[in-house]
Amino acid sequence: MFEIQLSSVDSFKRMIKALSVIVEEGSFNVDEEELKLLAMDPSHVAMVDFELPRDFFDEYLCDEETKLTVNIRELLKFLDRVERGEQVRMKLEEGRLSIECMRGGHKRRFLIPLLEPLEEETPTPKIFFKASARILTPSLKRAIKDASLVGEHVKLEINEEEFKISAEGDVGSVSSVWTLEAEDLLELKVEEPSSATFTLSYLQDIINAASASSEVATLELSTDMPIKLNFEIPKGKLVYYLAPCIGV
Amino acid sequence: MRQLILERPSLDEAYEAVKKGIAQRRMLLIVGSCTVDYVGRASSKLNQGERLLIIKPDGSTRIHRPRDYAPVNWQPPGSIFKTRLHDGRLHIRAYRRREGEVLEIAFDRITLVAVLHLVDEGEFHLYASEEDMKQAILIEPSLIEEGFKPVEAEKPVEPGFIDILGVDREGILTVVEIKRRAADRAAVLQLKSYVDAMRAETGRRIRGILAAPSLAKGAQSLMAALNLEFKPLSPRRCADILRARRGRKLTEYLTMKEGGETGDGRCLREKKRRLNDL
Repeated sequence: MFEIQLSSVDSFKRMIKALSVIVEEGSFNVDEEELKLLAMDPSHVAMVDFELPRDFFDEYLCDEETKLTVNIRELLKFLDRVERGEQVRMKLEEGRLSIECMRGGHKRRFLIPLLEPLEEETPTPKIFFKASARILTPSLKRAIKDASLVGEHVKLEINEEEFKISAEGDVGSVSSVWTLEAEDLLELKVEEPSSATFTLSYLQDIINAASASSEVATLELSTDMPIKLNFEIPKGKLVYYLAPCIGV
Repeated sequence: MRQLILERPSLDEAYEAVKKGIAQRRMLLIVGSCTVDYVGRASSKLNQGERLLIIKPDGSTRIHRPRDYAPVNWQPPGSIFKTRLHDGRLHIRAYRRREGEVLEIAFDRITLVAVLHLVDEGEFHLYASEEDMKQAILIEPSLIEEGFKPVEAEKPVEPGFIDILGVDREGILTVVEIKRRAADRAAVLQLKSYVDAMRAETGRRIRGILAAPSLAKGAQSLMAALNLEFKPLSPRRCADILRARRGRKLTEYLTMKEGGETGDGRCLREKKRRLNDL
């Protein structure tokens, strides 16, 4: 049995939206303590590792470990229908997920079918990152948007002095550099200067969606290895991994 | 008939134009209200609606609805057509005998028939330079042969630079010379000079492989006489590899212990490279 209640769906919805840029169909593993989702996108280039503890919700009831597999995009469509001021209760009901919106004496109810759990299990990359940068997400979002003007790929570099995001294409080139003096760069940890290049559209989708839920992100890099993006959220975990592009 | 465009023709007029256009192997566009039935490996039925039917000179067909980028039905080249007027509709049937597939479109009303003669001789080239071909081999050494391991690229030797020096699966030192066009006698002699230089340097047996799209006429016998080998390699294949390989998959970086279990006990479906290998 599984039931959660939220007095405001906004923050939950934004996180589901952040999941939907990676997965279309996903399995939420719920147990007595938390709700988790770990999934790769269909092309196996990106991964999301998401956890939401019971105290994020106003009410959380779960008596045994359960797997809820839903179409995340569909879930989002229904969550979009919830209006400001409505309380939301989601529960598992005979193989379906029920979403109830309540305001005063008025109640609306949606039922979404639960899907067959997906076959594959997804382990997390265990990479030892050589460098990291902790930065305010609006600043990050701006740099990626700038980069999107000129190219399909974006290079991220971290060394002792600075964090740099750059891109180049036929139209021109773009670079954003933060030194430790920059207000937006909170921390720089460098065991070894590192750099890696990524497909811009994936990075942009992830950063745009996740920054709606998070003010601060830690990016961990190792040269030519996947990047780990840890978006700090008040309760829980929202982490992405993105495979690098080599030889671009 | 060079080109013919009919607006809102009668079914009879459309019938004549379509029959002739198919017989003369033209490009046909037919727009109108129709039903579509397909029987073959599967079967489908599309009820009445307004669509665009394209019939190409090679006999391939597609039917497009006013949405989505992909056609709702299609047939590859080589279909046989039968067009007829029957019970107030224009029936166009595309039939593939060997596969037993039939696609039948029945128009009750036609908005447009265009019978076109399109000339398109442009060749589609996907270019890869010699440098690209070298990169592709370094990324995917099996392009040369299974078990080939590149050791050094652009190695300077007496006469010039060796494109790729590596070892084969038996550990034999191998010189690879890359050409993006048909390799001629000069290319063969160039490879020979590199092989000789390496033999002088190491005193070991050296294999010489010429990787190119093809061997020019005079080159084949020279290759055999000099005991060198040819590996067909197209610039196009290399371009595909570069394009595909530039974006890596996350699955290449997932850790795995012997037996396919990860550190926390979950299993992987496919074989993955160990982190140590990177």
